[in-house]
Amino acid sequence: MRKICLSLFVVFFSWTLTGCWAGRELNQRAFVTAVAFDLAQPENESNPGAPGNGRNKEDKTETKQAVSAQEKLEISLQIPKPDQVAGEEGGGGGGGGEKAFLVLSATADSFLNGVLQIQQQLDRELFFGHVRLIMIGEDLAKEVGIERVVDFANRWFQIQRMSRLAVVQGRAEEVLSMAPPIGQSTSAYILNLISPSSGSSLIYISDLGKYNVYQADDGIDPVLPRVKKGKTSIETGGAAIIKDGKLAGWLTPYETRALDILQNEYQESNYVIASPLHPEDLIVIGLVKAGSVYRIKKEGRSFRVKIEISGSFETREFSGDYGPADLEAKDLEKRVAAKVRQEAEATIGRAQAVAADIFGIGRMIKARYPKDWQKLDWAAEFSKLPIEVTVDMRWSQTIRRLGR
Amino acid sequence: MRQKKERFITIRQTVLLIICFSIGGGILYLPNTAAKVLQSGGWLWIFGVGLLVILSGLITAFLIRMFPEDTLVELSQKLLGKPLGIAVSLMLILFFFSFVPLEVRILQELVNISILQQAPFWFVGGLFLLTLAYAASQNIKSIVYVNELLMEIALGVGLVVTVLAWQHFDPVHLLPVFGESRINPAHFREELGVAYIYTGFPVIFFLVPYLKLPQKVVKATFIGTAFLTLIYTFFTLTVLGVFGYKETLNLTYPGLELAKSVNLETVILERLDLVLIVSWISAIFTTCLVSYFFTALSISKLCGFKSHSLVAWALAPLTYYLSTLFTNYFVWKEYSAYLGFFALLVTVLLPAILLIAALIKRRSIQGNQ
Amino acid sequence: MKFRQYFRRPKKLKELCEEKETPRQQQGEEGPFLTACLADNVNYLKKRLGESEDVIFREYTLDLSEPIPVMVVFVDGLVSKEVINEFILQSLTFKGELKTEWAKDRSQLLKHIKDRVLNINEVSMVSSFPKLFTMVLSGETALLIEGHDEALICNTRGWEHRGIAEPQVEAVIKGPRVGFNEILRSNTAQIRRWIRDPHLTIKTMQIGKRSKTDVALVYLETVANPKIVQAVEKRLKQIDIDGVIESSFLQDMIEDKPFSLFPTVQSTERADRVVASILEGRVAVLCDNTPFVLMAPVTFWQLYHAAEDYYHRWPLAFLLRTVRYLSFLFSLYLPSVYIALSLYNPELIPFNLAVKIAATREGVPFPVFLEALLMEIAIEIIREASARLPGPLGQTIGIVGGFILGDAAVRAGLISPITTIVVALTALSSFTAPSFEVAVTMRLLRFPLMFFALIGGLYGIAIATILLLIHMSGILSFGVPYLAPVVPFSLDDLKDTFFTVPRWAMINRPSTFKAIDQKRKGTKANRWWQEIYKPPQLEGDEEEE
Repeated sequence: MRKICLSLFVVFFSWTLTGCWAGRELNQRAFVTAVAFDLAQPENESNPGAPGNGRNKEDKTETKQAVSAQEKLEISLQIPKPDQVAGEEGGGGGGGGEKAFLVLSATADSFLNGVLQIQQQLDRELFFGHVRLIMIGEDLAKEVGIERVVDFANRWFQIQRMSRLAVVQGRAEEVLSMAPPIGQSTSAYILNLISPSSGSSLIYISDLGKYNVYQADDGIDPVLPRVKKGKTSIETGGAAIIKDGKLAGWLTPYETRALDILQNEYQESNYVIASPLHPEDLIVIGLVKAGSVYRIKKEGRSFRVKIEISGSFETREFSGDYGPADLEAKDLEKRVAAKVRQEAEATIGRAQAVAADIFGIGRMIKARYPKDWQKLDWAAEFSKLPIEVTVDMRWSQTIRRLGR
Repeated sequence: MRQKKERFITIRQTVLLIICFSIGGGILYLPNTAAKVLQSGGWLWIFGVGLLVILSGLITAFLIRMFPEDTLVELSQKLLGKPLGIAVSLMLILFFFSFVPLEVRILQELVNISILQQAPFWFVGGLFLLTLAYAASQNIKSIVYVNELLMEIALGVGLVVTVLAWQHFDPVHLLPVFGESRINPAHFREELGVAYIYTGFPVIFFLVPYLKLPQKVVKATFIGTAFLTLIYTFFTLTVLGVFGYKETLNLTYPGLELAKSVNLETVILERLDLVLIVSWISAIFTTCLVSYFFTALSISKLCGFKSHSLVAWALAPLTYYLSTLFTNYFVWKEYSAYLGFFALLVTVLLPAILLIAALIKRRSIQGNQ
Repeated sequence: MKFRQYFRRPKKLKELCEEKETPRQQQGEEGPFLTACLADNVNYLKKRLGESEDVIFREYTLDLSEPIPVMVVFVDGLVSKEVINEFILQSLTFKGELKTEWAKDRSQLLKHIKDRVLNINEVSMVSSFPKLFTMVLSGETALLIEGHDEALICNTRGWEHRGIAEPQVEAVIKGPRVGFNEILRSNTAQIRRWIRDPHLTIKTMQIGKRSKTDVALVYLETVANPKIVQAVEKRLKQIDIDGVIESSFLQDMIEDKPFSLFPTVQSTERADRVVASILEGRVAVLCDNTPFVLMAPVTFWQLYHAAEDYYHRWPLAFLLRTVRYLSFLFSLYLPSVYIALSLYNPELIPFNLAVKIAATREGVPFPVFLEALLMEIAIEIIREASARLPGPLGQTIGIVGGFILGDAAVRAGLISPITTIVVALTALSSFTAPSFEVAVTMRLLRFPLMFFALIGGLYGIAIATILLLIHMSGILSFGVPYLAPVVPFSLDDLKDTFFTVPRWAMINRPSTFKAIDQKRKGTKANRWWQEIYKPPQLEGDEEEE
């Protein structure tokens, strides 16, 4: 019995040796690190410099026919060149100006079609297991919507829910092909900028998973970080409000940090306040901790929301040679609170203007008043929801140096 | 002449057998079903079904304690007479066996999603079934031991993933506690089909003659089913709390997505989902092994074979064929719902009938005396 | 049944052979016996042994009332000549003794010589030739006297042998530096020196039709489970073999799963390890002519325990053990996981590393599986070469082979550096196994695992692991589950499996071995927090007492 089983095993395995189910050597794969989506621009197609246009004519006509019905996507993939990434010390002299990565683009009606076209230009198999950044161009986000392009990532098992999602003010492909000022790839550079490790609260931190959860929930609308192409460098900070899967509006960096406080995801930031005792001087305070509590009251059929923000700060920089003083404590606290409230109210105003509940007030109401919620037209209700903000700031952090 | 059997299975092993027979591929899409039933309160439904299962598990255990020498094959014939007894045992055998093709199919799906994207069924399922048949042809001792080991690995990894996922936990997702709408009778497939994942304890029908302390079988069953209920409830609670029920409804395998969203950027193996799948192969394997082994054992007992290994090997092609019938997710999801009804029948109704029969018999014996 | 019929004919031939041999064998067991005629006896002895020049026949005459011829027979080289000269021949010449009253009773002469004349510590009488041969050939001296059909056997064993030396294979940093040598008696004596318990039982038997090797079964009668002792003894007694050259001959014959790659009997040359295992309730099998002692039953985890673990303080021992188990995993899985990840699931490799590997693999002519396989084979060759060469040369081969060859292969672009690292780490990890046998098992298992990784990636590895675990949990070593105490689980035993605890916390022997006496007595009293261990007050008054 045992011998029969053994020989069966042997025959089985020797048979399988011939097949290798899409197994590839590492050097036969092209690791995609970032994906960018744009709305295809007609003039872009005639641009001979873009590497995505190396297709033959037949393809072009074929895709054109397919695209006429649908919006056309421009897909760009960033692929690092392994020999340049790894052998930096070896060939340091020659490769100074050359980028360590490759950006390939294609225009197609669906993501996979685009990948197919790019694949035809590459001798290596495109591998999406290391995609950590998905960027979406402004036009596309506004007109076609984010759902349309994020869908592929949700269905593709290799792409993680931790991949960062960002909306680009301008064209995403341009940002992707910019050389980073330091480091080797744009994707890693942007990734560092829009992840918690950046330590800044001017950005909004989100990822594919968070976006999906917020998008699926009808009591909250998602927000995505904003990336912008500056004159010489890539700029981050600010955020994009997404309503019904489409870009509804932008938040400035300061509004974003208010949003971070309102969503209880605040990290750290500096605020510039006029000095209470010496009006001509400025004090830079570091808001170290901040959080918010929502109080929802039902009044008849409508709701009233009170947001209580509290936090603590430290003084960091003085424009004059006056240092921190005991006298000004109360006043300073009030001024900081006013500043924070002003920013929070700006954010709330911005959100109410586009009727996008980015704070998740809706799901709080849903949680507490499920019966009322079902009758509610939340988008309309939210835009005229009375929201009151109270701020309580404490100067309770370290005072490191005294002034005059 | 019955050979004197070695009684070696401890309480701990019984508990683990109950758990490992229950926990297989089903748990990975359990929260999806739960969300369909009771939205944000889905975990409560899971808990409720768990309580029912604990109850019927206890009934079964009480019944079994009266007959510490018999497996179901002998016990049912004693209580219900030969023809009915054989019918009951056949039903239970069918019940046990019906898990195997389904689990093999789920395994194939999982492997194709993640590890080997283009591997055909004859490779993944075939290799798995060969391993299964080889394992099931061993004696009961090594089956019990290997179950203990594999289950610990799978449970350990699963627990780590679940606990790590709490970094994304948001209690708002679990409110309102009892869901947004009433339980919809039209969704009976999901509501009752959930029972499919709970069906571990009938394994004690076959275990009793090997138990070290047969009188402790009630305790073991209680711990097993209670632990099972806790695991499922905790897992569903975590998934619903992390994703919210709306996103959970979008996901085929919320368990895997949970592992995918766990953030461990500094660790070398950054993809916990793959680690989970690899270790979950062993969970699926134990489920299959237990059901497959006891199917083979009972068939060989019914037919009076000396050894069960031949049956174990003979069942492999049949299983292979049956699992190819599940063409896609929706087909086997429906099948698993029907399996859930069947499970309710076997786990709730059968013990009750047997217990009544046993009580009547006992009374008649006492009356005669 | 049909198979048996088919093979009937060869079996019959074999039976015929056996039939021929049986009468002679029977004769060999008991007879022929000595006769009263010395000349006949000597003739028989000379016929059997005469052609071998190392057998010395020394004729001698007892000067009693009449001269009585005496023959002293021994094997040169196996005996201590001083003992023969001083204590046998000299005492036989001491005529005063022999001329006394009792000497006249000729029928009791042999007994009297044994009791009153020979001042040798161990004297016995034999009456059959086969026994006589065995005794003489194992270094004893036979004394045959005219008119007696029995011979006196005097223990004069003493031959050239290696002294007690430090064990070569299992070296320790801390701990006794005593290993066994090739003499059974000295080995049992070493165990006795550790355990001065009257219950320490040393059962000796002779195994081997021709070699008649002394084999000793050593165990603690009040601790070891009698069923295990009986099983070992029974299996040993059933051995029918020509000669036992090394204890591994016995190991092969008494193992539970002869076809398994995993050893179910442990072997060691460290005396302290054997003593420790006897104290755990296990049985040791000592074999003459080899320093390697077998211990049974054994669990898998014990093969990864070093003697040293018990001599260091427990936190260090815990660290050492963790490192060892980790390297066990490495030595088994590292190459196969590398193959699986790089072929099928590169997303599990961190991006920067994946790109680095891809860059170094650029232009490497072999696929990753073949690369790893070639390197593994190369490592095995280097290992074997350095083991066969004498000491200092072996090290040179290691350096030349490992260092220069590996470096050259990487520089030439034949092998990617990552593969070299993986293979080298694997080889290094496999050296940490304290037991050579289990290290070999891991070396062997690595290749099928690599193959599974090739065809099935991580899925293949998972399936292979499951197969391995099924196999391992089916092994019983003399009734003890091989994977105990992990399966079946025993919390109490885990204290000495993955973790280590201080000596005083090891109250019980491992329950795995089902010892009769579970308590290691006296350990409980050593708890430092107990009243009797109050620290002495070095300062201040002593009045508090």
